[in-house]
Amino acid sequence: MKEITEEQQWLIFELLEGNLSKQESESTLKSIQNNPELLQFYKELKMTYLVPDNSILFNKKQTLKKSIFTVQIQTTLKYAAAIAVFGIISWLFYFSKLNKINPQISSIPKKDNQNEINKEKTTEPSPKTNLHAFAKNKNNRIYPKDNQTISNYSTAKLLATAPIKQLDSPIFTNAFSFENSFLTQILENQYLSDEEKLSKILKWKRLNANANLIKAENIENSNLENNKVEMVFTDFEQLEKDHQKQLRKLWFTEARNGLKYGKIPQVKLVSSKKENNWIPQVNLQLKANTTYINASLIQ
Amino acid sequence: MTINEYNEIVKTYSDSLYRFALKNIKVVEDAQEIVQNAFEKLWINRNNVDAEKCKAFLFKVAYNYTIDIIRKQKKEVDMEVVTYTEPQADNSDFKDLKRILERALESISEPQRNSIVLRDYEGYSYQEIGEIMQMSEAQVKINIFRGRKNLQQILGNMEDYL
Repeated sequence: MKEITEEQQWLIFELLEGNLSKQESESTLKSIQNNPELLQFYKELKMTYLVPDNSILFNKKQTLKKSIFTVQIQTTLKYAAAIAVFGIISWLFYFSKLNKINPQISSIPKKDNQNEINKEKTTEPSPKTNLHAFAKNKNNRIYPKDNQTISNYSTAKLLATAPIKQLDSPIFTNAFSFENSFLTQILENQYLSDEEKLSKILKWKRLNANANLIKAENIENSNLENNKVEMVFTDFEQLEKDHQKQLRKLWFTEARNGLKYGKIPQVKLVSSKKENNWIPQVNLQLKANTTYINASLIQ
Repeated sequence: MTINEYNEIVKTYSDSLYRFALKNIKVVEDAQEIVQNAFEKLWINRNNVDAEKCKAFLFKVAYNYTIDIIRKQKKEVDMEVVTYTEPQADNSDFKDLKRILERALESISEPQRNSIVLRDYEGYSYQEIGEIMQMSEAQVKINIFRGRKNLQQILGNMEDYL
């Protein structure tokens, strides 16, 4: 049997692959027919061409197909996950921001025994009390008792009922919004006890009342009686007696500190009534250069 | 690529892709997995793949998965102690040419087999096969030529037994 060269094999391969021109194909076919070895090789090589078996089918087509519904669900889940992640990040950011602010607030010096009282409470969030409702209500800041005359109305109450023109002043709107955000920060600080919260709120309100008075003098045609303010707190009735005592003590400490550090100039602190129900009632009066604090408390 | 276009591609190409995978991997489950993975990849990249080129994309992905599985299988076989037995001609198994060819196809090298399958089953050009298998056009042509020659020799030997 005559050996077929690589070149001849390649030519037959090119012929079967369809890579030759018509002329080349014809001449190659002719030479194949004249050579039995080449014809044999040609036949055998032709047999190596595969025919796809169309009976083999992929029977899981449906699992590959996508419906609009599933795509929508996937998209919704994707967005929901993104929103959840954004929410968590925002919350963490807000929480870390609060933690940065709170150490500044809680850096106010406290007595040692007070520290001991609060030591355990600071480790767990303190329960919400009506202190929140008290401090959040703007009208609770300073307001008159029902039986009091107009002359005893507080500066803040008068400000609240003053003509809109006066309230439109940026001095007041800024002061109010700042106070609200400041008080909210205190109230929502879970690591402060009620005593600490009250201490900070009282301190702020006292100073703020003073500031309001100073600003009130700058209002044109003001209907305010200059330098007169009253602070009344009536929301502590539900507290236990020991608790009430502590708060009371704390309030006086704050007031004395105010005097000591010159926050409230020329203040006279007077404890007047003694009643069975502990309803702290504090009157702060400023007359010209003199400030009076009348505290009505103690069971 | 819209959902409808994608579903149409599934309908058109899933069978041929499955046949291609099955030619290399004899295990049905593995072949099905290859098809599923290829379409999953197409869906993920649907915005980056042109509808016209999706067939080549699918075969390229399927080919790569196939190679991974073959390599894995080869490693497993190498680890085992294999006792070699001389292939015996069994006339009942080789009654028709198609079956002989199927068996012969298994015995040639993977690049030769895939080049021939893509050429004969899918009608791809040498260039397209080269893109799928990541080799030059000339290499593809040589693979096909050598693969066919090997098949021809096996078929010639089988004929002696028949």
